[in-house]
Amino acid sequence: MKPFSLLLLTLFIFHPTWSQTKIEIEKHVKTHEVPTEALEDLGEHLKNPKKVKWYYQEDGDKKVFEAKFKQNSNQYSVEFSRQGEVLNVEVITKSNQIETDTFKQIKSELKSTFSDFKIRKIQREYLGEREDLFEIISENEIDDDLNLRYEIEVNAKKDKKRHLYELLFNKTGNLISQRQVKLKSTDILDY
Amino acid sequence: MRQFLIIIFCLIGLLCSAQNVVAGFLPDFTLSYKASEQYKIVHKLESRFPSYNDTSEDINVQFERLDMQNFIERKIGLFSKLSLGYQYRIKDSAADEHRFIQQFSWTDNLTAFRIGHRLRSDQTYSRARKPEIRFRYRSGFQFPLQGQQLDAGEYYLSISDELVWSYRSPNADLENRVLAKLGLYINDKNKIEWGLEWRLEELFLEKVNHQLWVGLSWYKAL
Repeated sequence: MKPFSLLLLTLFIFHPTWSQTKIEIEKHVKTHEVPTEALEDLGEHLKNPKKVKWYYQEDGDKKVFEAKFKQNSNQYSVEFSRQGEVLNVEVITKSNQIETDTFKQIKSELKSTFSDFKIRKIQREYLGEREDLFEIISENEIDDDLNLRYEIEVNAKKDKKRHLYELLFNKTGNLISQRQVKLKSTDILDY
Repeated sequence: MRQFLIIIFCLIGLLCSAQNVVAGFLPDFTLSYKASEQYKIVHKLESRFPSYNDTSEDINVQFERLDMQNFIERKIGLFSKLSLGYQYRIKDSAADEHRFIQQFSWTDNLTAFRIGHRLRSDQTYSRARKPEIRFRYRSGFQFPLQGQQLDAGEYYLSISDELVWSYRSPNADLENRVLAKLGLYINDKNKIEWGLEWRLEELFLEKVNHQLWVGLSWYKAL
C-alpha cells in the first residue's frame, strides 16, 4: 500500500490555492435573479421569451447581465446593467455581411497589426437609444442613429507568437481597441 | 449535477449485473509547468487498486501498479500540441515496464463547450513479456455546468471515449474506454475530477472483459 499512501499524501499536502489574478467571470443565472425591468423589456420584443439564456458577467469594473437567444435566424446577445437598463445589442455576423469598404479597412488594420491572422468570430455591436436597440430584435431593423461597432476574434501571430485576440472596430473599420484573450489550459483534455 | 449522479448510478447498476467485471479505484495526479513559451513539462502519477470480489469473502482492494509518466510538450498552433513521453510502471506482481509515448492533441473551442482530441501511440517493453505497441484515439467533451464558459470555482462535466488498438505478438486487441467525470475548476492552476471509467477489453475476442474504475484526478499547474 506504500505507493497509494504516497499518492494520498501528495494530494493532501499540496492544497489547491485560489488564483489572485483577476479574470472575467461569466455565470449562468436563473430568471428570478435577473432585474425585472430587463426581463419585462426584453420579453415584450421576443417571439419566444422562454428560450432566452441569462448570464451574469464581470469583466474588470463592468458588471452586467447578458441575454442570449436566437430570433429571425440571428444569434443575439443583449447586455443589461444591474439596474435592468439595456446597454447594447450584439449580433453574430459573417464577413460577407459587412460593407465591402469597411471589411477592407478591417483587414488592412489586421494586416498591419499581425503577421498572420485568421478570423474566428465577428459580432456587430449596436449602442444607442433603448427603443432603437429593441427594434433590432423585434423588427430586425437598424436605425441610422445607432452606433455600430465590430467585435472580432482572431487567431493571430504577433512578434512570432500566436495568441487569441479580441479587437473592436468602429463602423468604418478603424481599430478602437484590442486585447489578448487568455485561453484556458487544456491539460484536462490532453492527459 | 443531479443528472450526472443518476447516470453514474445507472452505470454502476448496469455493470454490477454484468459478468467478467473488474472494478476498482484509479487515482491520478498531474503536475505541469512551462519550460518556455513553446514548451511545457508534464508529470503524471497514476495508480490502480482493483478490487477482487469473491462471493465468499469481503471486497478486497489491492495495489496493482503505479505509473510515472513524464512528457515534454510543444505547442504547434494555438490549439494543438505535440508531446513525447516516457512512462515507468511499477507492478505489484510482475516485472516493471518501460513505455515510450508519442502524442498529438488538439482542441475545438466552441461557444458552449470544448472538444479535445488526442492521438497517441506507445510502445511498451519489459523483461517478462514481449513488446506491445498501441494506437489510441480519444475525443473528450467538456461542458461548463454554470454558464457558457468555465470560470474559477465552477463545476463542469467531462465525457470522453477512447479506442485503443494494441498488438503483442501474436495477438491484436481492441479496447474501448468511456469516461464520465464531474470536475471542479478551482482555478486555471487547479482542477479536480471524479467519476467513472468503463473499459471494455478484448473486443476482438468472444468474451469481452468489463472494467469499472472509480477515478479521482487532480490537475495541478505551476
